[in-house]
Amino acid sequence: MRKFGPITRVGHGARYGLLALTAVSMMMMGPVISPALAQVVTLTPTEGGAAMGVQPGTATIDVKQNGNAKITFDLSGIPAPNPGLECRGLDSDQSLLSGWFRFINNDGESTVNADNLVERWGPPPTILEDAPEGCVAEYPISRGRKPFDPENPESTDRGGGTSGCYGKAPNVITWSPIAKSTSGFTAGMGGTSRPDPNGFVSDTDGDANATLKTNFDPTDGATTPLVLNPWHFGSSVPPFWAQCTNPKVTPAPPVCLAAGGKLRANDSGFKRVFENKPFNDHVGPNGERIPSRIPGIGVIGEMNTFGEVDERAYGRGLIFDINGPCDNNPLAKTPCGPGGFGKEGGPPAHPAGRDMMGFPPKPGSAKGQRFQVPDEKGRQTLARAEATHISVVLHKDCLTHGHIPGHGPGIGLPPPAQGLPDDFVEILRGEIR
Amino acid sequence: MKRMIVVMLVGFALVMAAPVGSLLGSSSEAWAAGPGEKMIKMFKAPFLSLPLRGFFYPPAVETDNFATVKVFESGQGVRHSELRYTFRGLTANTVHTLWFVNLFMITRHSAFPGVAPPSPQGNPYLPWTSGTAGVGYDADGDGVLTCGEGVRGFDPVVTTEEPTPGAMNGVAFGTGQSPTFDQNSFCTNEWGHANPVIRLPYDITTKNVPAQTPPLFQTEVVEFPNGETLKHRHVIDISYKRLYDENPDSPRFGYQKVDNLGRPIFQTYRLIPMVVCTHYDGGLGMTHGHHPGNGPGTGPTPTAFGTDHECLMAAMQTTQARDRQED
Repeated sequence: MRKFGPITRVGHGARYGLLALTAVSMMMMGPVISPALAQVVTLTPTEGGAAMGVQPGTATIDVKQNGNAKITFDLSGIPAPNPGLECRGLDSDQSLLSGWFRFINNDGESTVNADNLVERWGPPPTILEDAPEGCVAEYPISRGRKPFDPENPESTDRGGGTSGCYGKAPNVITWSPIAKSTSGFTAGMGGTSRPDPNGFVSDTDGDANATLKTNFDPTDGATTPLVLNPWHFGSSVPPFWAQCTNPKVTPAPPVCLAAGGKLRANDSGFKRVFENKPFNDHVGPNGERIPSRIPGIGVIGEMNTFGEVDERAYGRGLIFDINGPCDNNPLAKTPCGPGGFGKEGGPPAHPAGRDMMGFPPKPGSAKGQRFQVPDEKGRQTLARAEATHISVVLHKDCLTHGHIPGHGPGIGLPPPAQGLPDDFVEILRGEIR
Repeated sequence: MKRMIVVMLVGFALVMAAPVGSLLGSSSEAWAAGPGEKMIKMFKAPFLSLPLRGFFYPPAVETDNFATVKVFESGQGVRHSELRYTFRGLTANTVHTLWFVNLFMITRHSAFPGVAPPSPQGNPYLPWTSGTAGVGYDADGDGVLTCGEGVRGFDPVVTTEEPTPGAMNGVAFGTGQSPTFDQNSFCTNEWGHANPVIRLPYDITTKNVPAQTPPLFQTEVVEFPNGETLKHRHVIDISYKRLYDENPDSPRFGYQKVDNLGRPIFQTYRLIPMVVCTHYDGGLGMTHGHHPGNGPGTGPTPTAFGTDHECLMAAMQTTQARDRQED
């Protein structure tokens, strides 16, 4: 894709003069040293990439002094899409790619220690027939498990090597998109016409030269944002043996036959960081706390418009009442006075004694709320880890996938319950030194 | 969860029972909105308060907050919507987000009955920041984005810009306003007032609106100084519900279905109510990309710790403007 920029027109003499001046300067001062720290990551074709004829490439990491970085890819041998799988909006020989950071060790296992960060939560399978009492159906995540064979319904062979319904899989995936953590992601909705910010395309010759920018230094330890393991959804899965063998359940529930949602990876967001904070932490332009006129919002022991904020109400509240908050400012739509909700001339009061619709305090709400932790610029703080590798992914379905690439081998996800084709393939990988 | 079901059902009943008074009845009453384009629907959709804890609460009451909805149609039959909201008395200087709720998705398709998967307003093909940038304005140039500075009563307009195939080199796109502003966000002013305007590339009164899948969760274990330990679950972003080619003879078997522009086709449902949510988030306010977070208004069962936002349980009478022939 050729780019045209503004052209500065100078005469031949001026050009030769500039060249001579540059040459003299280099002789006097040596080569110009860039303030950026550059590292060239050699990208080696993966097994899948080599089978496609992908050639070794490079990803050059340039770290600017402010901690931002850009990763420039120089790739060749990128295969064209197969017939019938051409990317709409692109030339038939162009393919859609994306760049990713990886968190893996030499064995290809995740380096992220994030146990119990994400709760597996999906549509529960449905127990189909003659389930023994107490049977609890869970998805068999383990790869070795066999599907239910209707031709041999009495078979007890359910595959080997399984230790539980929830296989060992990292809760935080080992992929993080090479992009600014504040970038806008389309979650693949843009297709080839608007790929995610870590996406780029090859040209018609199978070459790809693209630069992705980050607002962190991927070479500086644990600086790369993590993304969460995806959630799975679906509506139909052929019957399978639900061997509910969660080792923590004793005695183990009986085996039963179940079916449930088709397991497909859904997009997820970055791993975020939360903290406990007082609920009423709103501040005005000059740092003043904006007094809330809403029951349930305020500081315990202080008065708001409707009385003292008690512990039960602290931490909960609601947005506005059905008449709008009583307000004495001249712009208020509902000035204070008779006629308000629960007041003379107004609708009856809330049974709980409140003037407006609201959510009751929840147990534990007096302890405060959990808020995401902002950084110094008011942005979300993201959990981060040390990137170990750079990978290039070829999207055979011509769609980038938001924060995660979706199903497929090598990303630490359980395989889909059905034999779905991989919509992407990792074609190149290189280690960050 | 039961409360959520009750609330949504009540909301549904309310909007279904709404009068059909303000809908433009004939094309002769419509006026042109642009070259080759005419307005085919217009109605005022007041926000209603809803009972939150059962039927014994006072009935829903119309508020002073409303949206003026207009639907336009081009000569080729392509429709888009424009929603101009008038909010008064929300929490001042605070980030808010607007959401649609797919009630039918709850009852028919949701894997989580009783949970309302919200659909954010905005062009589904435009990027989302997933809240990683925060939301607000940086009028004083200190790099800190808050709702308490800069423009008051800001009117975010979500544009419907066309894709730009040439700009595919790792460029992060804005959301129509800035890369730091999620599409369905707005700030209230010091009086809690706001007049956001949102334009959508579809007719919100039909069933052809984006739907979303239920959310992902992040569970944390929190320890308090007194030794008490509690588990807390947060909702993380979700994405649109996608459709897959299930024809084994198709070259794209197993892949997502795409339109003529190569964009995924997503599952669509009707919209029933709209909700507006306040984001507290320690005063800074962060929207949450595709999902506003956990909470009584839109999320699953509320958690013990509360959340970083709460939503006004309001319904919009979109039902009154629906095409009768669509089913």
